[in-house]
Amino acid sequence: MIDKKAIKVFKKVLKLKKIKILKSINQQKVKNWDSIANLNLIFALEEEFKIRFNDKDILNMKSLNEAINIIKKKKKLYA
Amino acid sequence: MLNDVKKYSEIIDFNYNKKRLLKKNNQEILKAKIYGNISCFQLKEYIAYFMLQKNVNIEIELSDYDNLLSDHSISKDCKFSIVFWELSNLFNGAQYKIEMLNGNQINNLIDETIKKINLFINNITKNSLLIFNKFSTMHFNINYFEKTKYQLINDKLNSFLETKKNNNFILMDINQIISEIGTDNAVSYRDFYLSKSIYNLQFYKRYSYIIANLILSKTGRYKKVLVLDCDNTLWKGIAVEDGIDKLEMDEITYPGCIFFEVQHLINKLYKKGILICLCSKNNLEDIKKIFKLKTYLKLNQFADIRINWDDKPKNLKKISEKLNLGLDSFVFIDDSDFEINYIKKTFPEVTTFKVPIDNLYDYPKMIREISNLFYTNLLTEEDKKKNLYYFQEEKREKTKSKFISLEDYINTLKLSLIVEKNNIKHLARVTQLTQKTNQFNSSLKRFSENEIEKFIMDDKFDVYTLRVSDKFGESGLTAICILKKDIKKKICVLNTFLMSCRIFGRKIEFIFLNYIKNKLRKLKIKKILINFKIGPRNSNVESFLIEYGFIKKKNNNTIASFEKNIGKLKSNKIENLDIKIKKSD
Repeated sequence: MIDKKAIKVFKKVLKLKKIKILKSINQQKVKNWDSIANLNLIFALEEEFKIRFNDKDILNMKSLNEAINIIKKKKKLYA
Repeated sequence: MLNDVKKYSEIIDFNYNKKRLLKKNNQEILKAKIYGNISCFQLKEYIAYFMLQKNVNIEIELSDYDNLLSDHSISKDCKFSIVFWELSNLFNGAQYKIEMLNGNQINNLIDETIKKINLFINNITKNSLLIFNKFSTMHFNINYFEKTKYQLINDKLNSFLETKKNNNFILMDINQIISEIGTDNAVSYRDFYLSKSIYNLQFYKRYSYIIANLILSKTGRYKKVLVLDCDNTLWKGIAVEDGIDKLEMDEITYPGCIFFEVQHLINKLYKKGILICLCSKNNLEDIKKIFKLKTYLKLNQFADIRINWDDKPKNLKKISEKLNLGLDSFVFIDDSDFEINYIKKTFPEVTTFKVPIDNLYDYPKMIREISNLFYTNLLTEEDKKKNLYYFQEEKREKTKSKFISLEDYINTLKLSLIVEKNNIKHLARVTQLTQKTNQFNSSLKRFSENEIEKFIMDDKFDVYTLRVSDKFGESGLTAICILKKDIKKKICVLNTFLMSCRIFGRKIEFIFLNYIKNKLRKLKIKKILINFKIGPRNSNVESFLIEYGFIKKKNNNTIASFEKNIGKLKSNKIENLDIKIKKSD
């Protein structure tokens, strides 16, 4: 569930057209993933999952996979 | 009001797709720019979202962060600028360093900042409307009893900003938003220290909603008509079921006091020139009685009254025809889910609100929020009298049906027209007419006061204005013509020819253009050109041009060019009309 939702957010914010998104995509591989898009991702994910990232989370969030891991950790923490 | 706003990621997606769609349709693009000494890129998506929802394509540029002063570059067609000038970032660490400054240093800081702001304002407001946020200390001030130096500077800068207020400079009180949603929800300290951004999405959402409405209203897309149901909307209770005596709207007891307050708030809108109308399933005689005996509002305040058992969309359509205003300028309030949904389905362009019948205490607040949709800021004499004009129009219509020919009718009106040329006194009203006239408007160009002022001052341009009155009363300044003369080439281009729908149907457009044509003939002008902008609702201009004798030269999807030789005096149908035309320049 978290995976699916996160992928959806990534697709929309980064304007990715491909139907299948690999979890391994990262900042280097995606052209639209600039610094503003990165902040947009953070805000959008926070809103989607009703969580708040801290500074370490933000620094670590360099790929979709990492983002999903961080969200899962947070969600468990909050539960 | 903001409960059904999409999530941020969906907004980004929506904007991206909608922009591409509107681009395909060749729709005009509105340009705006955001300046900030903090980073506020999220605004871009939210403002665009609220505009695109209304099918207005907007392109928002972000100035380089903290480059306020060097980035004065503003393209001529950028009509709106928004500024986030945060106290906490006047210089790095201002939020705590200011407390360490001595009196002299504080004065210097204030003087210097005022100088900078002044320079900035003067530059930007030349061409564009500037929305400037008032300074705020709410992010960093947790002081209950003493005034800090930070607050002192804040107050001084804000009083300076107040002095700069004019039609092209709007001050936005962001404290209002921060207190509405709470500092913790509005401010993000994480982002302040990490990336010099200071607000959360919730703040941007609310802020953008308000600003988008302001921009929409400034481009003529604001609401003009408020249509109200009666039972459980203007009073508590249902006339045909409860009986007139049982209806509650008194000042003292709950829930009557809610409706008493609501009626006062609506009266305030009426006084501002908003057209208020009734649309209710009821017996007319009952309603007349209620308004005579119980209500604060009076029946003669309503521009149109539809009390019958027909369906409401049908009635709204009739109101729109009678007032000659598009349904997109309508706000509709009702207590019934059925009626609200019926209107929503039939006319999605109407903005609808349901009376919060289960928590009536929220109703006055709702009306206060709705009042913002009518925001125009350019309130002119004509606005304040608007309801009166429609009242006169009704009398005109009644007389009209008694006459056989339109000419006979017009002759009995004792029309009197006053034409003026380049009168700076009318600056605000002329600007307003260009902003809001959608029907009889040849160019659909929206001008700022500065632009109109330039036309008035420039010898190459003339701005003609027309004031109309007849035996029923004044209609005010209701038609304008902006033209550019080329004496050498002996041609004249009508930049904008427009007329308020209030004076339709009296052949005034013919008389006005005839007058201008005669003036041009004296200047040895041989030919009049006009570029007609094809818009959604202004086709009557085209019909008029053809009837007047213009010949269509070129035509594409958006613009049609017309021209007409100024030959001999053409005998128009208007020759039979007995109309006095006065010059006052």
